[in-house]
Amino acid sequence: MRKVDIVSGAVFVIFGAVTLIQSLQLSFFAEGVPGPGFFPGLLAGALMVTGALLVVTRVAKPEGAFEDFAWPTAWQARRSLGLWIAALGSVLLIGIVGFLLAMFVLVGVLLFVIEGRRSLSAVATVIITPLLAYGLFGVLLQVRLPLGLFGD
Amino acid sequence: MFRTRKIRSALILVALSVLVSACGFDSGGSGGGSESDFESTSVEFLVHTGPGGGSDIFARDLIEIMRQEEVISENWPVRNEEAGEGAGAMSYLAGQGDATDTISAMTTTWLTTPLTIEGAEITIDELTPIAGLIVEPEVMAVAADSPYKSLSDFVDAAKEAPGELVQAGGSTTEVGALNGASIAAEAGTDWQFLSFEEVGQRIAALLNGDADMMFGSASDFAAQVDAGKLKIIAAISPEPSPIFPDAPTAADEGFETTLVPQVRGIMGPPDIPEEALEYYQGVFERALETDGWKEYAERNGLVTELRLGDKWGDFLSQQNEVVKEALKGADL
Amino acid sequence: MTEALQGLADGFAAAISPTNLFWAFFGVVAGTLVGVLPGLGTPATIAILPPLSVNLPPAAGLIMMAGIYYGSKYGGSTTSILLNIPGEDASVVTALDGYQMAKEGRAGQALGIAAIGSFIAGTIGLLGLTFFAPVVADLAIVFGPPEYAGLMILGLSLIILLAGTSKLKALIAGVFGFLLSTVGLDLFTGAVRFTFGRIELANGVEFVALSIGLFAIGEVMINSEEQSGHQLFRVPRKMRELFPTKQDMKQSSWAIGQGSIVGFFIGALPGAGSTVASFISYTLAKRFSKHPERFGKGAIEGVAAPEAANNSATAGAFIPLLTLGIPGSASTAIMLGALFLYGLQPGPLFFTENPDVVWPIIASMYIGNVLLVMLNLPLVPVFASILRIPYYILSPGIIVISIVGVFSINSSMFDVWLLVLFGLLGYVMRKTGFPAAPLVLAFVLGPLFEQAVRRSLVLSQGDLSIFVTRPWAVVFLVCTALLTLGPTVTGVIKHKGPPETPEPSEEKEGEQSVDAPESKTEASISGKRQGRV
Repeated sequence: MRKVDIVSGAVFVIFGAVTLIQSLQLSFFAEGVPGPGFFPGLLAGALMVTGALLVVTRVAKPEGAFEDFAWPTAWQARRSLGLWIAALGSVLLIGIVGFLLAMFVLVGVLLFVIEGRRSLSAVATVIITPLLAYGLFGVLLQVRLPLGLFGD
Repeated sequence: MFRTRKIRSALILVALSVLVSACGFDSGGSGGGSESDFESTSVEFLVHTGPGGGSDIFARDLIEIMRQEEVISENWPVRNEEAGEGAGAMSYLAGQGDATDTISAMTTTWLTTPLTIEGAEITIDELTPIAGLIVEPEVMAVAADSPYKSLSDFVDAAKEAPGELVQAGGSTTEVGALNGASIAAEAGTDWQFLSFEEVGQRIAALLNGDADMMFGSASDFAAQVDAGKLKIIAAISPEPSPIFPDAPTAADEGFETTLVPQVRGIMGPPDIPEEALEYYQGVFERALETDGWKEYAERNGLVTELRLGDKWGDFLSQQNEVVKEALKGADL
Repeated sequence: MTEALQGLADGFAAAISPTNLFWAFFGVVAGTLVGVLPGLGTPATIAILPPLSVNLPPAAGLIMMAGIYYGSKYGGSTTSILLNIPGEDASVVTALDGYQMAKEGRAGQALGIAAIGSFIAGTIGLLGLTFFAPVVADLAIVFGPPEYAGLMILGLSLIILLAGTSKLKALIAGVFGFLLSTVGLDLFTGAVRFTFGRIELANGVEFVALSIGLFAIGEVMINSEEQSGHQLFRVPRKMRELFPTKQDMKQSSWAIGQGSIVGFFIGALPGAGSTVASFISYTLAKRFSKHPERFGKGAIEGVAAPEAANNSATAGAFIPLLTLGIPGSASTAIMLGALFLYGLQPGPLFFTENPDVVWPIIASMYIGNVLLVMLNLPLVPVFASILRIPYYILSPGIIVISIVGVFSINSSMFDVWLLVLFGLLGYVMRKTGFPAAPLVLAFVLGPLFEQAVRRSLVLSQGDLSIFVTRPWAVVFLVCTALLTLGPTVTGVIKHKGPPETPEPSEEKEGEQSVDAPESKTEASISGKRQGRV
């Protein structure tokens, strides 16, 4: 955890610095009272200070003082990040093929590719889940779900 | 041979469906252009505030009245595009091309936003003016025990102590803020403007003495005035408010600055077809003649001023100049 | 007092008419549904209903709208507890402990205490509305910018209490959340902040996309790292084990009482709302708990307090609406609009001039609360058994519902992109030990704090003394100092009083690996934080 903390602390310092530079474009004070840039500037500064503190306190202490960081194994990373990429891809697909088709693809990829299921219940899930969501939101709550390029 | 024909008919089908979708028609039944077809269409009514915001409530009330008075038969679902003080709604409407089933409620905010908000690129000129409906005369409210009995009283006090009195309101580019700034500029003085998101908080600030006065629509204050907690001392518009006819206008008090009116009207997509435009104008013309509308307008202190098509467009460009001047005066 | 009793009695007589009873029932059922489904907010739902209520008498129409309003707060806890998907803004906090309880096989208890706590708090809030409305209204008016600033300082300083093992990391998450909340148009100047030219960001980052991303998507990603062939959580088979025990009730009683009162007052303030109420009530419950270390790991008080607060807040929210005619939230603004449409004008004279409308609405809310608890308690085993579904089937459902739920709020694909992005952030934060709760708390309270401070300084023309010269502001500042700097009250109690609550189970004890060498640094940091704010 020590190394991870040092890295994440540093990331926050950098993020804070970038934000601080950005917020310099906004006026810090306007007519004698705090302007739009006041709080962002202050907070960006605070993020840099706290991030730096995290780095310093971790550097000052031996590795043994912290619990070990649990890196995901290759198998775990394939599953968690694979799931995320599938979600990302499906959101991209929504704009092209519409909500319903994209969600069929998403659930299909999650169950067949990432989980490696081949059972009947998996097939049923792929069919039912998007339809259920569509029924609840598209029909019952009358949300106009995106139809994609071929929709309408 | 057989295969190519199959492919070709498939291609035609795809092309057709793309065409239909490009036209922006929503469901199968709305493909025609005659009036009876529009009538059975469910029109998407765009507003630039969230549920419960001023434009949202106005739009829903208007639709309600039109249905009760049988001007329209279908319910028109309201679509809230609340991003960026109208900028989101304007760019959504501009993206509708020649669609016939999306129109939008607009207010004076649609004039100020393109002038003040960075990234708000669509202006009112790019949209089609359908109809102007009402002007909402703003009034000036102060606490019942306030020392100010008129607009001049307040301005005189502001001259004594520039920058110390406080006006409550919404964003710094809303109508009340602009008019406050122009009046202050004319008098050569200055006061603070305190922004609140919710109307409720503004009135609370007036009631607890944090703010000295507020410009707002008559209906916002009516309940408090009836209860004797607030009083209306001026109309910040060319005409007196129908609800508080006794309050003198700014002009009566000798102020000459051109005031920005709070207007409400309807805009359409940039290339809305002529038939659709005429259909909607007919709808709103009839709506404003119904008893339901008249009663509603009277109760809320609204002044019905119907302007159709070009007349509405000309009025808007004229108001745009007024807003520009006011913004210049307010240094925004 | 007698006047109120008389009014209430008349109100009940009207409220139990079949029409009014039906619309109350319809409203609470619709509200529960909207609350259960993530996304599509309460205001949006109330807003689409006037067409339905046109031909209803004013009281019946308002009874239905009010039913949706408080019904949604009941329903909101369900998906928070079961799936870590906050069903409603005010239920974000409920997920913190509710979901942990579900993981321990105590979903039934969590759902049960949410329903019971909501019922008790809703009723306490209604009693407040019935008997103290004018007094509370006066208090709400007194609350100006400096007082809000004080209240928000109190809320923000409690961020430190939401820390896991490291207070410093909680603080970083909080600052980051606050910074995230500054994105968008600045109300005071019209300046755009960190929108990168995207008009979608002009109103700021969508809170639902943030909270569902961090909580629901992040959690699914974490869980996916384990073999998910079977159900993830144990669900007891016996009916008796699905409801809160006497012990649970006893343990939650203080949290419910505290949540009811805190929620009621915060709900009555225009512009604060039930989300703020639920956060503050949760942190207070943790602050005064004898076992604060159990919070975030499935403490039942951590469900009871925010659920109580967000329900009594809805009763509180009716006070400025009915007695002043000034709505404090979008939902109440729509109800005000509906009253206007009926030709009614809520305000200081509303109770005396329109008792035939006001009292049936209030009476119907008592009835609605009873209906809700009768509706929700039998559903507890039904909902709890959702967790019997194997996780590999449940998890795609969570993602799909999250996507469509977030989309439904603004019909915006941009928000869905944000959802996916925050999902990854939630996963990384979990992995690296940064807690998400301080981030969302600061995101909610931050803008209110910023606005209050800037308004106060406009009022005082830059003079900072405004924060220490107004009585209520001082009260909050003193409370903040006592709660954060003072010796832990609970520590003292812990030494003196006998331990009433049973020790957490061994399994939980194992999880609490506190890295001791850190504590010294953390204390000095929390001191610094105090100085800065």
